[in-house]
Amino acid sequence: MFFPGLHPVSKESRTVFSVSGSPDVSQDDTSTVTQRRTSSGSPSKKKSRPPPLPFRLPTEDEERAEREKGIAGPSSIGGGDDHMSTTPTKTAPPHYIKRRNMESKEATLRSILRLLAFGGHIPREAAKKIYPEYLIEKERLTDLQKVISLPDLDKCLRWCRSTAPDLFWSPFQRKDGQQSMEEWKCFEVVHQAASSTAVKFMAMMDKSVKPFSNAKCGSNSFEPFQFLCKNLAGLIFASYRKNVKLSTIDEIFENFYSCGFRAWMHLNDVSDNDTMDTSAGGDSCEACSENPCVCSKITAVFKEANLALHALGLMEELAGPRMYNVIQGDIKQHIHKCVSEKYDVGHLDALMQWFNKRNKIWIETIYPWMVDASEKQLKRISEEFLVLLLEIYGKCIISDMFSIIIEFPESQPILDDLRFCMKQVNLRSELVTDLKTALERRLLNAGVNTDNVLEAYVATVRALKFVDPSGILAQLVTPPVREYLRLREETVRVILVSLTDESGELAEELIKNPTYVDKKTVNMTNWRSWVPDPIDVPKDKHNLRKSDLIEALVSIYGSKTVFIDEYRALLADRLLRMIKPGCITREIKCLELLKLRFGESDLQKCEVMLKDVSDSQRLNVRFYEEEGAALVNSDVKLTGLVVSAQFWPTFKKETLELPKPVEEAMEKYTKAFEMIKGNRTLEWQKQIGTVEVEVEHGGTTLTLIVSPAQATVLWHFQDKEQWGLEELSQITGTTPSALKSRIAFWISKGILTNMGDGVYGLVDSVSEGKPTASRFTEEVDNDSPMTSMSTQRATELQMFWSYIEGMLTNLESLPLARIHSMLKLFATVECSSEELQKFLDEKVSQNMLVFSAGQYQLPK
Amino acid sequence: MSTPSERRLQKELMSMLKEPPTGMEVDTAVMEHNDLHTWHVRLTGAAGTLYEGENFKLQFKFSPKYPFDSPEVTFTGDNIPLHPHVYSNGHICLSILTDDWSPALSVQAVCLSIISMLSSSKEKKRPPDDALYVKTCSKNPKKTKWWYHDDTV
Amino acid sequence: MKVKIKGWNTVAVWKWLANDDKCGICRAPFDGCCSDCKVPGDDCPLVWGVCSHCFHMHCIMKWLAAQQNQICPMCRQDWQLKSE
Repeated sequence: MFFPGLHPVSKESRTVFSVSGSPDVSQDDTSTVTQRRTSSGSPSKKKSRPPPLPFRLPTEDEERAEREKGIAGPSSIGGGDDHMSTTPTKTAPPHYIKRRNMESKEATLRSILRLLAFGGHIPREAAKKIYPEYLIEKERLTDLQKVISLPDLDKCLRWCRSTAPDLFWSPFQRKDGQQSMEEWKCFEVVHQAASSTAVKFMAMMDKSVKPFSNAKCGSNSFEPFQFLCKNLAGLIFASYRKNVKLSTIDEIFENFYSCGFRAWMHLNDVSDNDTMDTSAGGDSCEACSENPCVCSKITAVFKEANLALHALGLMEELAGPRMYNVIQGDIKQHIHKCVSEKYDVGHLDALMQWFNKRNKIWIETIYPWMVDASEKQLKRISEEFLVLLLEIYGKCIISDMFSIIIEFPESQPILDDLRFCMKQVNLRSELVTDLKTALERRLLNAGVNTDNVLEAYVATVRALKFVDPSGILAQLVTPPVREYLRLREETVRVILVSLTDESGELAEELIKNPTYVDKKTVNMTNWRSWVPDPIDVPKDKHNLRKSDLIEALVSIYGSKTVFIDEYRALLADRLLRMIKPGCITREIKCLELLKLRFGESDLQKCEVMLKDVSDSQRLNVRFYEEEGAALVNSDVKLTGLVVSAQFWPTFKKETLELPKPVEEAMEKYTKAFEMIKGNRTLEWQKQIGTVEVEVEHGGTTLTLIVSPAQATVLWHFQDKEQWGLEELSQITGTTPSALKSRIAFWISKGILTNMGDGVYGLVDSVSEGKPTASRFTEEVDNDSPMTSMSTQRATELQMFWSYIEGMLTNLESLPLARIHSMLKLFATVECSSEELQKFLDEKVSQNMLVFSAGQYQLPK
Repeated sequence: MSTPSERRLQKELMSMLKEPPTGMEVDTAVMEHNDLHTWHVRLTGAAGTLYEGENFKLQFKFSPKYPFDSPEVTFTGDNIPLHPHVYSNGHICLSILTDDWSPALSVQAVCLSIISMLSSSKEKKRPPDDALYVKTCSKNPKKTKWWYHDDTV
Repeated sequence: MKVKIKGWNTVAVWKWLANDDKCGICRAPFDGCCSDCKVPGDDCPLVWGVCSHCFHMHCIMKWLAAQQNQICPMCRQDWQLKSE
């Protein structure tokens, strides 16, 4: 047992040491460590050996064992875990002392010791240079030297590692002031020396730090810089004692590093040439703002300081983050300059080239001692830098992800880069949050056309699936967009229009990818490659993961059925708006594609609708064009679209009395129909359809396509030039308000005019001249003749209201999902859970239901 | 896609839920697992009859051939009505359930017939051959060769 | 002013001339089709019995095929097709 320089240890304690220093020390060590891990907090007793003393010095055996293991790191002894001592004689340190904290304190302590030792690893001369004499007062030094004369620094350091942290913290725990150990005194001396030095140092710093931290290396920058380098150690004390605010230190270090780095770059002429011009004669240097340039001096000091920091073992602890900032800034600047909204090319290759050059510089400047380091170490550091570069590049791409997505697939190259970055760095949550915000801000507002929103949605799904083929990204990002699209009424129309537009990319997708795949079938053959979802992926029933684009679109609507319903409404609308039952090859083609995609049974109704159209077409040919056709001699050429009502969406009910010739033509048509289709008759939907009229008025002739109601209104002005609203409303069987809009149409055409007092009349042909708006010949009523799908489903739900009430009477309260599943049992109620929720919430607002704790119940 | 018999059952269920007929109620809770081929219907004895205020439970089992094939209908639960045509094991002697079945009949029609059968009873008692029948009959009442004796009760 | 109607294109719903709107056997509307068919009208016609009850042709055929007694499901009278 040898530890020179310390006050002699009392005999008793020596005995204790030797007891603990039994032959199999390494085992002892292991067991201690293990026990520490398990006994977090509560002291547990060891079975066979006496408890290790807190401040014991390492035995020679231990030392040897350690040397052999070649472990010298702080975590190998004592300072490793959170320092729960198993000794009953010593109270456990507080829980807040974390390992990292411990280590950094220890590192500081180590540096203090080295500093005081004025020797050891650092040659005395060098040390003198780095740590100016005034750091330690002379008398103090002699005092200290009396106490600690350390011929073997390593031993001292080891002692320090194993005991210093304990010692350091112990005064905070022992309130009784009981200090039995001699070692504590040594520590105290060290400690006080450090603090008093720091206090003194602070006073000096106050004077000198200011000019340095203010100026971006402005005039006279060299002096404080040099000063700072020389006083780094003092600064360390200061920060250790918390006498200097951390932010100040940060600032100082930041400046120190950026300044040093810039100088170095300048000197080596590797900085970006356009920003730095060295030889602009007469002017001060741009890197150091000095004339003549002092960059080389700065660099020298800078290197020296880094070396010193490294020697102190403080490089990472103290300078790490700042240095990191400087490098980060360097990378950022370069990347932003490189990328600058050029998304159609990949930048990764160029960046890598730049990186390889730059990497060397970073290492040479900041890790000067690493130049001679092993290949492996260098590689490790380079890799760290590379990850930093990729992270910055990835973030840079992400920050403009919206524009990149909109430009997809042109932006594919840069997304390729992003994919590469994301393999190395976890940027997912960043991408998800940023893109979501961007989408919400730039896309989801009323000013953007549905086409554009949809286009962007498609591009987003595609681009994200390109970056991440597993679909998780798309799954995470798109819900708000889907939600939004679902609320926009014309979305399904836009989808279908693009699906059926042969030149559109969606149609392409439909043709390319027609197979309807049942998602429930699990592919058991490649289960080995199955990977569980990350935990932050929502359990969403609209799974975009394995789906393609069409499914991504359908998923907006929650279910296939709802989407198909919407399609049916759209198809019906389109068919009813046709001038006459005619060419529907495009619709048939589209339906065939959809059938491949969604299965036949769901599209059965649409199929019947199309069949109705072609049947009607044949019927009309038969009635009008064939030899001896039944209706060849009619006054009005009435063509009918005869529909199977069960298969079409519900038509809006509206009464309308048509002009007599038309009514007669309908009767004839019905008779002809009954003749060929036994036992069947027709019910006319008089308000639906299109009428081609030729209006001859005041010498001009207008040919217009109008609605039956519009045609009917005008028809009556033939017999009588002026009509009161009431009168006309009676004869046409329509409400005055509906009538008004029809009259308004003819007023806009310059044919009718409002004569006041609810009387309308023909425009006096001669004086008013030509109708103004004659060019617009296709102005059919824009109202859909059918009730909307959601209204239909709401009506359907209303029929079940009594049932839902009954259910809630019996079961008291139910969650939405349960009500939905019970309604689904009847299968004919095709409503999405969202629609049901809307319906129920409406009931809540009408006080017919109460919603609390996620359950619906009847009001008491 | 559902089968024809399921579609027909759905329609019946819908109409019974939309406009619940008096004295009967379909217990949908037991159907929640999407099996439309077994129904439970709660019957309430009609007012002014021997069974007033009493509750019974009928079980319907439908074959895939329904409605061309009659359903298997039995009383179930604790309360089997005491009735000259109802055996203590829940079997019911009612011609429309076997020989006189017609696809135009429905769950609702069957329930109505049973309620009216109960309503017209003048005496609460088991059929005379109850003990023997219960011992020897098949589980499925449709397998019984019924002898429809009394149309008045 | 003169209005000339050059063409009037409108919509009509076809209906079976039946005394009920639903088939007593499949409970589907007559204007729809029986549970085996997909297209209504010509492809899934109605038939009338002498008793004046009518059904989807396919429905009543199925019932009669399953039955020894050829009776109308509605009135239990003998089923005979009403000749037009």
